[in-house]
Amino acid sequence: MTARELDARRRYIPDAPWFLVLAITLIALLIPMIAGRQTADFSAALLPPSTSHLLGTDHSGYDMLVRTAEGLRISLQIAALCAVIACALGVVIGVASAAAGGWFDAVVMRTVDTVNALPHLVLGIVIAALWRGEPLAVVASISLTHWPSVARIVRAEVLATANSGWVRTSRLAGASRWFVAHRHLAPSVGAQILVAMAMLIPHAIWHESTLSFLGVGLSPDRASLGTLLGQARGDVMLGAWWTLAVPATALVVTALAFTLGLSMLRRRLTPPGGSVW
Amino acid sequence: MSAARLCGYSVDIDSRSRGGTVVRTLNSVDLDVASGRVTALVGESGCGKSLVALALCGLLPPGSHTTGTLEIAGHAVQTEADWRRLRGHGIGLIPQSPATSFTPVRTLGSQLAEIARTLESAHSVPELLDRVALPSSAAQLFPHELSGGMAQRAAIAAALAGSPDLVIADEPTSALDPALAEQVWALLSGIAADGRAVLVVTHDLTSMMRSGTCGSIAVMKAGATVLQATPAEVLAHEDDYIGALFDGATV
Repeated sequence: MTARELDARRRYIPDAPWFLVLAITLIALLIPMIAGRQTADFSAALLPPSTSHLLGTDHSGYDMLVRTAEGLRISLQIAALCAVIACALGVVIGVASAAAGGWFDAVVMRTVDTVNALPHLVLGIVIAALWRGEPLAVVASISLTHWPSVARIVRAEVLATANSGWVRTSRLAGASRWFVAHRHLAPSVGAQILVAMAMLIPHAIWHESTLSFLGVGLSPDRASLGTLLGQARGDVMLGAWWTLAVPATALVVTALAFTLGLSMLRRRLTPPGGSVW
Repeated sequence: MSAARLCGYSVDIDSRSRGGTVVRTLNSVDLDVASGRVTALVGESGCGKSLVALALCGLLPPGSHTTGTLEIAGHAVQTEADWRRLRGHGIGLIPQSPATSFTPVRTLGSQLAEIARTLESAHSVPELLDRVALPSSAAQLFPHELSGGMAQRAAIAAALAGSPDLVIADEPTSALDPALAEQVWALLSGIAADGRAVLVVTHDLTSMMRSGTCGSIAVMKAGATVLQATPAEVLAHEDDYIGALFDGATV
């Protein structure tokens, strides 16, 4: 077997976790669409899983399958928005910091240290509590606390690539700054951003759920997974275990799917020969 | 004919880490790199040899201020745009660590092809590989799959892509065994035989003297050139520093 074939075999990476992510996304989008508008039916409150309600009902008589799929959709939307905003902020600030250097770089990096030193959740609660129940406040509270880690990664990647031997080789072949930027810097930073975004999505889902669970996130009429978990607190005491188990399982499976997909993505983006075993 | 000439060339670098002090790294360097022969630049570690190589490519570190004259093919080079025109076509550098001079994520062939395309080179990738005695199958390999000697030759191929008049090699034999070092010296003397100027920065004096390829040797000490002469004249020079430097390298 040649070195190339060996390398190809080592770099073969199954796509299964991303199919799971795709399936979760489809469930979140299609089930609420098929089910249509739901109305409260208190005569059907807290029914256990059965053929008419596959995953049972909550205390207002809403079907838990539909309610969880809706919650998942809202959680995913908010998480994706947070990841995109945090990454965009991180790229702009990280690239500016690396390019400017000097005092600007020092000020930005100390700001990053300061934001990272504060507990994200506490800072997030303060921001979300200022505009309680507003989805945008939740998005802001998560994005504004998570750009620093992206900015730090981007800055480090830009500096490492700009000072690498291959960028020097490129410049020795007469390459312009623009050529170096789009041929060397953009791909290396892009790969890091992809990983950072895949990492931020499950983290943002967790953050949003925590905020909603604590009561400073989304209101019950726009229920996310966190809101459902918060409401289940009371219902579980009445023996309705499914009101907690269904959204909790959805949360865990979604986070796991993203995390598995992320480790696959990381292996795929790592240069060949980079693995130790 | 002189392909590159440094006259009273000094480099001061603003050092932020030393509280804004200015460090004089090169102090009045005089160097003449003639076409058609191999010129060696030797000296103790840290005396500024590699900095001379970078200065001749216009790639001095940020914060560098230069005085004195630097001429490439008889013309003083001033602006970054001038350097960009010269790099690749006029000057090729074989870097000190060839293994890291290619991006790890693409094959050697695609990178050499990109360099040849950027420089509108007359040579194809197989021609370039053949020139440095690499098999054409090496184009399919990723940089980490190259041995030290192959990486060194690949770096030489990249430097030759634009057919530069001045080829600078920074420690081309330091990581190679004597047999491979011999091959690299033969390759460099072949380049000089084509009428190009070759400047080799080295402290591997044993293999350099054994190969007998150098027409001229410039000796550096603490950022300045002490002497530039033929190998025989340098060896005959009565100086403790030069004597210690060439000790055991008179084969």
